[in-house]
Amino acid sequence: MHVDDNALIEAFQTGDEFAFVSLYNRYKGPVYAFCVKMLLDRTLAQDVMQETFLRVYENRDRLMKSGSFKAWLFTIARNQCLNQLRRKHRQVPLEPDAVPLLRSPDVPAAHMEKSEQVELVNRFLERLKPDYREVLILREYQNLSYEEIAAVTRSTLSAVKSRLFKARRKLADFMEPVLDQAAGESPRTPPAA
Amino acid sequence: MYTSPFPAYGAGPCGGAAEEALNLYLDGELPSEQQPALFAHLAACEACRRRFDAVLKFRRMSRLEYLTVPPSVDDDFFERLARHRAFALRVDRSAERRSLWQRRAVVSFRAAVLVALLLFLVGVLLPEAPAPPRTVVMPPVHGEEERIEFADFELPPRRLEAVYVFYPGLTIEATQTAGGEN
Repeated sequence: MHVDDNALIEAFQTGDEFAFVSLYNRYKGPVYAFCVKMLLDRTLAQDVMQETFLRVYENRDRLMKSGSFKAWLFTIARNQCLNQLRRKHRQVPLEPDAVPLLRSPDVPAAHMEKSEQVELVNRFLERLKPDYREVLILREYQNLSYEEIAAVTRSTLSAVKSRLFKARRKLADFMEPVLDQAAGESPRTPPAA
Repeated sequence: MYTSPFPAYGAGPCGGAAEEALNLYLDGELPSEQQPALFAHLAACEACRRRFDAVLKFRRMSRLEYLTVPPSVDDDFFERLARHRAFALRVDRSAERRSLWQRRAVVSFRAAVLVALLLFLVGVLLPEAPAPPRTVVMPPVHGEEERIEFADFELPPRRLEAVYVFYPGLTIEATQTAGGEN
């Protein structure tokens, strides 16, 4: 039987620890995936995911029944990730343009192994600014609506759309050379008449 | 000659409108009546088609990775939670043991300002009270009760040697006992 988030939150607020475990089991996967893609570091992502749920446990009184629990949860995770990225940036300055996209540029993307394609995706994400990366991950991986992304990133709907468009434009700029390779180094086809 | 149904404005290979429509379509937000125009545009515009293909390719590649939380992470988390709960319980108990004076209370800034203002107004508006009469404060006197026990017996009569009575020109000497008895 599926119990909705609001019922679980209400039970959790009245001291039902099992309700919290249910919420944890329901959302640990999406939060973990979001953190992995934001930080591109699994160990760090595990720590941030745990910290996020600890904060949920601590702030149970502030859980909003009327608002979206998912958006609230991702807001906490996102803030934690941005803090980690700032810390990381202070330690080792990120130079995304210096990172080569392909380890072996002679191999076209279509012939790459699954793990290599995953690594390629991570490299694309690494090249994006955190502002663009977060909206892209929330939309492409988590399927959040524009309204939910706006709530998570504390921005307006139009700002979310604009950032998503710019993120995709950047992404396409990174990907096009790889797609050219996948097409077997064939010249670009002229536009159909 | 092909003419784009999207007006060319803003950045992007075909203007902002085509790019916006493309993004809305990718997000499943483009109304169905606007989709044929977008497909017609994609068929004619290579730049937009390449962008569209790139995003679809990224989407396919990103689906290849299935991320699951390792079981050890769950164990770690519940251990951390148990430690956190134990710590919170200790803090709660120590807070209960604190006296009222040491206890922290959340007071809103507005309430604090109101109370301060109220105290100020009371201090300013109240008539000055008459000065209290001056009283001399005496230093405290310390005393101790002294018990004196008196002997419960009569003193023996004292015998005086002589009583001299002087009159002008006459002196009488006589023996006399104390108590006036002769």
